[in-house]
Amino acid sequence: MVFSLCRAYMGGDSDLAKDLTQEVFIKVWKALPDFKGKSSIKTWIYRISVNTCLLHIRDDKHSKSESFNESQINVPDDENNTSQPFKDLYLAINKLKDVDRVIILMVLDELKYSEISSIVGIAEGALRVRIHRIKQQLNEMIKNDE
Amino acid sequence: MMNDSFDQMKNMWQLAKTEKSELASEKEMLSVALDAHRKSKKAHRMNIIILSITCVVMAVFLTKILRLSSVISYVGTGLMLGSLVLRIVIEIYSQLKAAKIEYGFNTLHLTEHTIKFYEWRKKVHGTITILIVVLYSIGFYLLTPEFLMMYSKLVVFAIDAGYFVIAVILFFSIRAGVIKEMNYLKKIILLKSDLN
Repeated sequence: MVFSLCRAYMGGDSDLAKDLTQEVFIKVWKALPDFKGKSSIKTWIYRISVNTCLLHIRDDKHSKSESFNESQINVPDDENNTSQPFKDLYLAINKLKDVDRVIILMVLDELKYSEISSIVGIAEGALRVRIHRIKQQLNEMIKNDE
Repeated sequence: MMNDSFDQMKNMWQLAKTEKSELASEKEMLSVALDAHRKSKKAHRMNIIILSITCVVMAVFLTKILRLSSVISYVGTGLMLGSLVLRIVIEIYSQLKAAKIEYGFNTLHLTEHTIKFYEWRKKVHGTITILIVVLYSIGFYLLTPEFLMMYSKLVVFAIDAGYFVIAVILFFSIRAGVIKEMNYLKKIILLKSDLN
């Protein structure tokens, strides 16, 4: 869960994702005594993961403007050659704005809108509109790449 | 139509998640993470210990070995040691403040806290750190008359010029740090505005 979110946020770069996952683990471990159980542990871990991803821009060499190229994406190849569309999905996700990227990753992970709202702090109504817009953007990007 | 296409993406995503990953087990990951955390804490502690030892060695050297004779030299020593102590206190306080930033809150809340922290850092970097360097430098140059009594003019000139070079390097290194943190602050502000 944490690694796949970090990997997709980092545009498929497994090495960067591993570093980020480690950072998340440290934060979870440090914050565990303060966990009050107001939300489920899953939502709480998502919150820490999303926050760590979004705030991990200090040493990020790959800023939004420098989009990833396909060679940086590290997805294991398989016999059925299904990795190409997956790479396309990563590339499309990586073109989104940082906040939109984490939101759509949580949608792909099948989190409820109320959970996503409590993670990012955006009201549920506004979030629905935003998700609709992100889906449109993603579809257009994937169509244009075909 | 759009939903069909998005459902395809979702299926692809779920499929990829179930693929075997080359990632280490969660247990190994946690152990590596804790190790990294311990190392980072050790590095912070070492920084403070080194600064404190420098402070003590400097105090002993200036007062016991050099045996300062004039009041002005004592003022200089006081300024140098005082600014170093102030730097150590600020470093410890900054670390404590940073550790209080909780990642378990929602992103909007976290960005607000982080912005406050970096605005505070801006004040510390922008004014207090520069003030510390200036006070330290004044303190250092106040020792020049004392040095002139012990060494030749040429040696004292070399000491003063050497310090000036170090001060310039220090200034640019602080400036680079400030610019880096201010860029980070700008990015967090943008992130927050994107959440509103």
